[in-house]
Amino acid sequence: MELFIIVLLPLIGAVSNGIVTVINAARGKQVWGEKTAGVIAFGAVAASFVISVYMVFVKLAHSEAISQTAYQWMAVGGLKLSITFMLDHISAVMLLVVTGVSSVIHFYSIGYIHGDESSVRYFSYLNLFVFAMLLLILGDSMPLMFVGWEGVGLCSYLLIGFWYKDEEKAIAGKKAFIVNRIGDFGFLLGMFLIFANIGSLTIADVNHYFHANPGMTFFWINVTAICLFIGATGKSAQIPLYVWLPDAMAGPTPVSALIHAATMVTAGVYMVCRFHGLFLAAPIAMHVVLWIGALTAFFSATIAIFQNDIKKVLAYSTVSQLGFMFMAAGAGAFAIALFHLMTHAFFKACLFLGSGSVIHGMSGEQDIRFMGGLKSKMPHTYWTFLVATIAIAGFPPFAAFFSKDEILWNVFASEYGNKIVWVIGAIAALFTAFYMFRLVYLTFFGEFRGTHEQEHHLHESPKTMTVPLMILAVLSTIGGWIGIPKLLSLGFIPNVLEHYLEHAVSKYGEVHLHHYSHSIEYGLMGLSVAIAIAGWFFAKRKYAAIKGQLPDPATYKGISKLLYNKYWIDELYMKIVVNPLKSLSTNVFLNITDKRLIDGVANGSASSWGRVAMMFSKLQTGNIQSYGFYMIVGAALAVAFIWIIF
Amino acid sequence: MDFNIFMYLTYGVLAIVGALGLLIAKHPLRGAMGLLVTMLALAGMYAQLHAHTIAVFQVIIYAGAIMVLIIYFIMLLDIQSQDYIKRFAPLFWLGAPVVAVIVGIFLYKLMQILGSSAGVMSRLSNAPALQSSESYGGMKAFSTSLLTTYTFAFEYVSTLLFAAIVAVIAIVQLDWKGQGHA
Amino acid sequence: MSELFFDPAFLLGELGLAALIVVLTLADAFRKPLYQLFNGTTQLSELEYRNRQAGWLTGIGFVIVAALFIYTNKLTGGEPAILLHNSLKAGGGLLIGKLVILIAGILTLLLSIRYTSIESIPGIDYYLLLCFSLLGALTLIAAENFIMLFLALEMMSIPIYAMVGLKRYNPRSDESAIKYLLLGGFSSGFLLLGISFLYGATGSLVISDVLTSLSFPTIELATPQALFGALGLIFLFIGLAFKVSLVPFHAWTPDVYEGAATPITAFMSVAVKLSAFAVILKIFAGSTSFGGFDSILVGMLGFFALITVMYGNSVAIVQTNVKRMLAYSSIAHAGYMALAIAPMTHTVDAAKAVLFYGIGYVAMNMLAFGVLIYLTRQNHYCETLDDLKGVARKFPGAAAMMTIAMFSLAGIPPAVGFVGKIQIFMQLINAHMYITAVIALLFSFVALYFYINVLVVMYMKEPDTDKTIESSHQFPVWVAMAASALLIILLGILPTPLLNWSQQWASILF
Repeated sequence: MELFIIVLLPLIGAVSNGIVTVINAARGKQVWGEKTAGVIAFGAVAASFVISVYMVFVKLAHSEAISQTAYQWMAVGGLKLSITFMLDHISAVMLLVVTGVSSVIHFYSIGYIHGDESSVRYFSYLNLFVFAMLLLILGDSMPLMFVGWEGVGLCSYLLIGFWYKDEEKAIAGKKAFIVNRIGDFGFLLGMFLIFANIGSLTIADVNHYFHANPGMTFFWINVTAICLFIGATGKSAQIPLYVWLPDAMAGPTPVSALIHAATMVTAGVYMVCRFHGLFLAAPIAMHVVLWIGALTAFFSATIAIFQNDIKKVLAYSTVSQLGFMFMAAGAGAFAIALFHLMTHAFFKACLFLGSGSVIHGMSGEQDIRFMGGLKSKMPHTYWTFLVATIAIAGFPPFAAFFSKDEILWNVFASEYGNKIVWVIGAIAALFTAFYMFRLVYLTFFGEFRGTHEQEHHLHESPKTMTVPLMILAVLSTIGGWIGIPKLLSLGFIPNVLEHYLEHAVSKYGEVHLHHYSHSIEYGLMGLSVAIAIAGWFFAKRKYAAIKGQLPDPATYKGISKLLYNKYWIDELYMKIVVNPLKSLSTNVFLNITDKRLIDGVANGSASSWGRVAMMFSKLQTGNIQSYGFYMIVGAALAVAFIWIIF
Repeated sequence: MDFNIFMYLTYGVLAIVGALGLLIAKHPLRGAMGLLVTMLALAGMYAQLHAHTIAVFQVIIYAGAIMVLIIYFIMLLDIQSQDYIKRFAPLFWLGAPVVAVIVGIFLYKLMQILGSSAGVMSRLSNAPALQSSESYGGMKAFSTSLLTTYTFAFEYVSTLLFAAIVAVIAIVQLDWKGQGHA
Repeated sequence: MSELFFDPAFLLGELGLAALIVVLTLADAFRKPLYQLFNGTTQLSELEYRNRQAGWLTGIGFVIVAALFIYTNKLTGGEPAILLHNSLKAGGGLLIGKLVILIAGILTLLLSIRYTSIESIPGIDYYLLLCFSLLGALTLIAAENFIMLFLALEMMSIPIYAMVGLKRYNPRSDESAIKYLLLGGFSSGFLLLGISFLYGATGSLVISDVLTSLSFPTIELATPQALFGALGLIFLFIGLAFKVSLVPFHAWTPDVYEGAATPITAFMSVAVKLSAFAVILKIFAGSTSFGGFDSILVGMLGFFALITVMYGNSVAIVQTNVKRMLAYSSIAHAGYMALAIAPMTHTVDAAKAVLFYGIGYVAMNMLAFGVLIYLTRQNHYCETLDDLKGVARKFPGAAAMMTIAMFSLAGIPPAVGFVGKIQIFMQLINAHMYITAVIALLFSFVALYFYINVLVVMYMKEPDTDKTIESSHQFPVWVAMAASALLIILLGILPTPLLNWSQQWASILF
């Protein structure tokens, strides 16, 4: 029952705020305003967090998994769909991260959304998102997970387009939705393949089936796993479906922090870890995951170097870090993937909220070319931002040092790993340190490059916004300490996380590491630190003492132009996917069948289809005849089917 | 060949010829005559099948009453207008082959099953409908089944006619805007 | 199942509806004195007053009929029977189907009460035709022989031909009525040809007898009987496919849906479709195995269903008129429903899936059209996407309703449409028709585009400057919308009762 309550609380918050939104708008008066709405929303999520803590640390302390059935939804054929929630060690980590970070960000939102006319609606969406995310995490079967999966996609769409009066933001919302649909199609396909072969969709059954005795052929196992991974690339913004995430930054900043950095986008990683039984049985799919992760990490890191929008930099950074998580998963180090997921949630949420604070202080300016010197004006924001930057860059003993180092080590040493991928990952890590410090130097150091008006208004954000920043900064610092490798602490500090997840992720197959001497391991660790320092050093040399205005992106040349324009991937997709589809539906379906045959002579516009269309329109004298003709053709086709047996 | 079968086939051919005439006649009245031929030929076929009551109804109701109605309509049409005397809609030339395909498939398969035209003839001469007794389609048999097995359908048709009347009245009422019934 | 000649207890509802028709006719005859008697104080025009009067009278009648259906169930103890020399089946699970169709009628009525006045349609004629059409639909799903089947189908269709044309001053409405009438006649021709072929092949008009005679090994392959049987089934299918608008028998749908008064469009898209599907199920998906014919039917149904799904969903994308878009969407949904029976597994499960989907579809389509009606006012139509721009700002309630409807149509959980789609796809997967399932699934993602587009327009676009968004604040429409929305959500979250009911209905079909 407790798990049910955890999931239900945000839903109650969402529904009550949603109803009030409708009533407020219809009646033109306030039933309750943003204060109450914020408190309700925050209260619901915080209560969920408290119960989650209780569940994880008290109830789950002595058992492997807790399963609670709320009710039986429906039974179709052999498929029984029930609302059952399952809490095991994998979902426990995710549950704490999501409810915890959500609570902090809800609190931050109270300050951030202050004064917006649709704040009640905002909190309703935000709670709805948490509800869907919890369904995704706690659902014990694929359909339930899929409901949550679709739900978070929907909320993401609603929140990206939250300020829908801006056409561009509405379009960004649509883009996110459509790209995600492509991924969802892969997920569904995988789900069908699984159901067709095992007849059950619960996570435990699926993992067990593929671990124990895959009746499926090797080929189909890999196809199934890759289908699921396509779903993950959609949700977690990996190549080739990453294009929606940078545009998704059109939404309010806390949304970017919560959905597009800390929680929703990690759902793909979580899903791969959830189905590690399947993935371990599919070595080809593992390699796909590894390579896609590495390439994404590398390419988006290069793109991030030349972006000037503070949120775009962070967005590409998120894509890159998600690539790291997939690298870990692809190398078979699922526990490490979850570890990095957790640390990333802390420091990326901190960075996004910090950027929100900066944008708030800069009266809505997002371009770092017009910032600079904010260090003294916004000290709290600066320090927390710096801590998170150090964390993401991988300086010891901050969080990402441990997680990222572990990822690279596993890629290097695991039986699924690959030395080339390790090199790519290391370079991506170097770029990460570089673009993050570039961001810090351009934003907080040097002299102010914005307008006088902005300078005049420049101020530190209110307490509701800075307190969450501090909490997250602390977490970014100490969050990695629960996963300190044995080698480094010489066994004095237990590797809490690894120990905690050990059984959960090795239940369906062990992943072996190649044996290397300790000196190599120490060497790699040292190299990680050197990479971080190198990134910082280059960034400092290039950007620390910058004077005057920065060059306009239009003047970029060569590689920087290529990177600034994100390899022209968006334009490429437009050309090869979107436009052909559009012209297919307009030219073929609309024009031939509807316009030419049906409206025929009446409209008689002979443009694209020229002669063929003219021929058709000459055949057309009135509507009904042509309709009758279609029926006759249909009848002929139907009659032709008797050939099957006669 | 049995005279019965010969007449039956003759009526069949006549029905088809009449229907084709209806389709391709330029003048509506000629089309109507084609329809009349079809109706009468059908009546003949019913008679050959011993369904005398239906044959009589066919002549009285269709060839009589309904035909009169159709001819009235044609009189009310403006025959001068070129729209009415166009022979074929262009789609005819697309539609006709498709119909021919349907009929062709059907006949081809039928011949395949029956073997040859001799097979068809022997089938026909053994057909129970052509052999049945005088009492089969007489007024008594007709009335009995109408008032027992198909009572409900019979009554239902009257409701259906009522519905059709209401539908027609609803659609032909003029000048109701704001006024209700005229 | 008992065979009775006649027991009025089984047909109380239908008799009640017939009585309502008589009452309405009489009320029409005495309209002048009734108007003078009651219209003492209201400010309404005579037409509007009479329309409301007729509407509420019909409404009371419908509620009584619904009560009679429930009473029938009590009287007969839930036992079905075959009445009147194999004319009708009655009682048992069939009552569920009848209730659903009646509910569709009640929702249509609620949508119509004010709308008839907006369009200056004389109410009594309109409601009389609605009653006739309902009577036809109620007998259609109960028909046990082909004569009744044909008559009931005509009884259902003829009033609709007239209702489509009731917006007389609107040339589109006239045009679509004529189109529907002529093509409807054409399809009836196919249906009758099919019936006579089947009669020729089996010598019977009783549906169950025909199906038994057609099953193997009763009938030998490579005999003229088998050939006529197969062709009969095919032509019968074409006649029915026209009613549910499967491609390529669909061409009338967009024009007629657009031209007809919106409540009639709603009625057509749900009640006609659902009852025609009940007949398709009875004949094609029955427990009788067609043996050798199965392969023909699988190919034919699968082919037409699949191209319907593909065509409907593709063409809907480029529509700018919402009613037209919903027409193509209804074509696509017919395709999904037909897909469920395409495997020809002859199980109650397949029929159950279709009926569940159809019942859910009643609620979602009524809701979608209800919102359009809600936003319609005298001389102010809400039909195109442009008309919906910025609706969410002024009428958030209506926009929320539309959201529920679109989500359900698109099959997004937890709406009932999602549960329905799962049922359909399970049929395909159980029959190992994976490629079909994948294609259908792909196109249901295509469909998301145009459903979501409606929401995008409503929530994220500014209204055109020369347009205003208005509503007629119609209380009955609100009731209909709220009821449908509630059903959509409730049945999406707790589908088990409806699944059981559709199971009961499905099992009595055969």
